[in-house]
Amino acid sequence: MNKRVMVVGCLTLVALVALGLYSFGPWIQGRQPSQSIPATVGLPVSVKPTLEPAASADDTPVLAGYHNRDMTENYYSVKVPQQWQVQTGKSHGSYSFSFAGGSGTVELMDVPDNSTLTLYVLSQEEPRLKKTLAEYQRLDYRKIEVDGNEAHQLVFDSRTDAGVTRTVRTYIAGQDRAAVVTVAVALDAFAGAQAAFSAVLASFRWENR
Amino acid sequence: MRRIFGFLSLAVLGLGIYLKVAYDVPDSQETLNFFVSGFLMIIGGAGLLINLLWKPAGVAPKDKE
Repeated sequence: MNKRVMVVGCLTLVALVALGLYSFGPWIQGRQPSQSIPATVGLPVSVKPTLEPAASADDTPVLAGYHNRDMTENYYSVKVPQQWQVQTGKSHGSYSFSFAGGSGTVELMDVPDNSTLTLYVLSQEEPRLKKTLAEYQRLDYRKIEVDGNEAHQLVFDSRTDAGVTRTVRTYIAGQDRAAVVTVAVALDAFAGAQAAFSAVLASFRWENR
Repeated sequence: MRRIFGFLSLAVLGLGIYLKVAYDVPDSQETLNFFVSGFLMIIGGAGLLINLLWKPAGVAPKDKE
């Protein structure tokens, strides 16, 4: 056989083995930091807050900032009230937080290239919520802007074990993925928590625009 | 035969580049996409290179006469 062809064949084999090792080898965990680190071991960098100066307005909570660097095209930062407990979420690039009487998440959502955020929210997300949540009832849907980005906000009630919960779910358009900021609180505590919800949403920023 | 092999290699390379650059990878499938697209690009590229480097076989005995 032609010598040069044999050399190319050998190099190809070596390249394939290297590719396989790089893709599925033991050091793959190093490329996906936040998924594998349990919150009890120690907070990863993205869950260590940067403290904001005390807020001036009476009803505006003091916020702690979180900078997420999990997805290359979707770096973002968000600030939540200091009292809220924040952990990395189940999915890559997400946070979950809990506070007295409620909980919430910030996560990244893949929107297929052949769809728009509006279409996806109305044709996929809302039907999914209707299916999965008991007594889902939409209260409001509107198009808003978050830090100059197109955003869609769904407000709905649903029934959980604790009673009726009111949820504000905001989908924010991004470069590759969209961000979804969700906050849910018991119906009777909703009015009191609205200022905090607005502050969290207003603090959201894409960092690699 | 050699031309078919060349076209196949080009198609495999093109598919690899498509998966790498233009394909909308579903959540949590990035690693698999990285491997498959890399695999196809390496195979396609190697195929093209082999196609270019391949020397025709020695002259057939019939032609010698």
